[in-house]
Amino acid sequence: MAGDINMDFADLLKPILGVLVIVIIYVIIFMALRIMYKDVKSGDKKKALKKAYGLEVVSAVEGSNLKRGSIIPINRVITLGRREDNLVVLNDPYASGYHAKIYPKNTEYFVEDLNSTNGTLLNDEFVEGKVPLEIGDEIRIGVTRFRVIG
Amino acid sequence: MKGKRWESRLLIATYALCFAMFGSLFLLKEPFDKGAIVMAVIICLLFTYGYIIIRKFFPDGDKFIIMFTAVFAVIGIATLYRIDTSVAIKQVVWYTLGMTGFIALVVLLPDLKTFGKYRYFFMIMTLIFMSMASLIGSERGGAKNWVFFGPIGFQPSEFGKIFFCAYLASALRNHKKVTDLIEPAVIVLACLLFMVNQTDLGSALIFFGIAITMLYISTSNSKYVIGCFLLLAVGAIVSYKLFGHVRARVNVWLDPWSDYNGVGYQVAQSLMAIASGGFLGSGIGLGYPHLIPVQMSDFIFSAIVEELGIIAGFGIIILFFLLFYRCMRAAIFVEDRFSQLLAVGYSTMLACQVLVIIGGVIGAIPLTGITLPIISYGGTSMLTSFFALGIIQKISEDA
Repeated sequence: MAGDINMDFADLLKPILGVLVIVIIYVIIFMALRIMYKDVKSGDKKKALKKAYGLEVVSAVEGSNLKRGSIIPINRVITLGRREDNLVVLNDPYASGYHAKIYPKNTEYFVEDLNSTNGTLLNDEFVEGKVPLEIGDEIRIGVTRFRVIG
Repeated sequence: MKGKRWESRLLIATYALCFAMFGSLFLLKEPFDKGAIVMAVIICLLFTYGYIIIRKFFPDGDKFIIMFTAVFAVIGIATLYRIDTSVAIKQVVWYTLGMTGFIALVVLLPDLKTFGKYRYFFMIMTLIFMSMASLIGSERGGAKNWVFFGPIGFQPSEFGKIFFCAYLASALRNHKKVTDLIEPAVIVLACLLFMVNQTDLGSALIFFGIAITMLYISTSNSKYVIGCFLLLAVGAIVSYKLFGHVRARVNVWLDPWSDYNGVGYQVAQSLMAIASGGFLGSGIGLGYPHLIPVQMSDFIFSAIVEELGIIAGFGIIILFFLLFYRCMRAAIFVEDRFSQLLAVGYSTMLACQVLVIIGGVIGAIPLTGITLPIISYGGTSMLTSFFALGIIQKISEDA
């Protein structure tokens, strides 16, 4: 008899589970849309990372807008160069128009040379392509020097 | 971290879907079927593992791609389990391999920009895979598009698609004048002719869709698109006149009942299954999916709709649309031209496949046999879908 009751219970449950599956599919769609909507609304795609790195200006050209000891947080793509539309404008005769960029990706930070004439130095070595950064690294562009701080 | 909480809710909803589907399969048999629960647990572990890796080590990438593939895999494997248990077990193996490939691509692949210069390698690989079935292929289900090396059989055009997108992306990324388009046009035409030769019209349609979308994205010139559609119309009329099987497919599409015992049988059975399911379906295990031909690959959509209802069918189509949106979103935000075109190509490939096969089984367009990405049974299709999605996942990190 116990088996019969089990089967009855199963027969009762089957159509309910069928409808449940449909409901869950739509719940998933609703949730996905909700997250995507938030993501569209907030606009800026890159969220602030927990432990953001920063660039400390160690030395700069005389009369440039960069002051020694000032800190630039790396919370998005930072472009460096002589042109006015860079995020960090370098008043440096040895810097190219668009010299380099520094950006966070996944859980790491990278520096990338943008085919500059005089190159970018990371700890006295030329940067080729993109190179991951670590705290304490020194980046040199022309005579301007930055230190990566955590 | 409000977004993260919703993401874990989404994960929980996917578990709920998995256990609801396999739970009803568990109740289906007279002594309850414990294998179903084991399958459910394995699938949940698989996609949770993938999700955690993506979330922890690659937080800049897209998190939806893996979630949507998980939903499709759950629906697909549960349906296969209901039809034939041994096939479902094989499919779980393919799903595992697909996920492994997906994660391996994301972890190991260097920056995609560097692949842009292998244009001629991609071209040669495309031509090898496309011509393979024409030269040494064997016939299966009306199309000569399978190749067998000993016991291992696969569809070369599935792999061809991957290289085809890569080739077009690298050929169109630097295009400046009209003459730059001649070489890609010749390759596209050659691929289409090989497909027609193999009587694989579904794939031909997909290749055409991919080529035209990538052409439009890279040139933004609507004249090319109109020209291509005119050529398509001419091609369609010519192949209708020339090939008997094309005529048969079109006639079946116009009236599936005219040749019920012959060519029309597949579409007619599929339509009856969908109709008998109605809005809410007959319930899992209460339909008759064995009456649908090729119910495990091409016609799996009809089998799902029969038991879960057309509402669930709409849900699946919406989920595919959202997946397509996520893939195209990666293409919108990425700066590198090659990555952008590649993402467009692969997302179009998946979207075209969905449109062509769902359109075919519900009788909206003439039926051409291809698989529904990730849901259908099939190793080649599973691997190529996950490969394409893995590349898009990688691209989404830069976006």
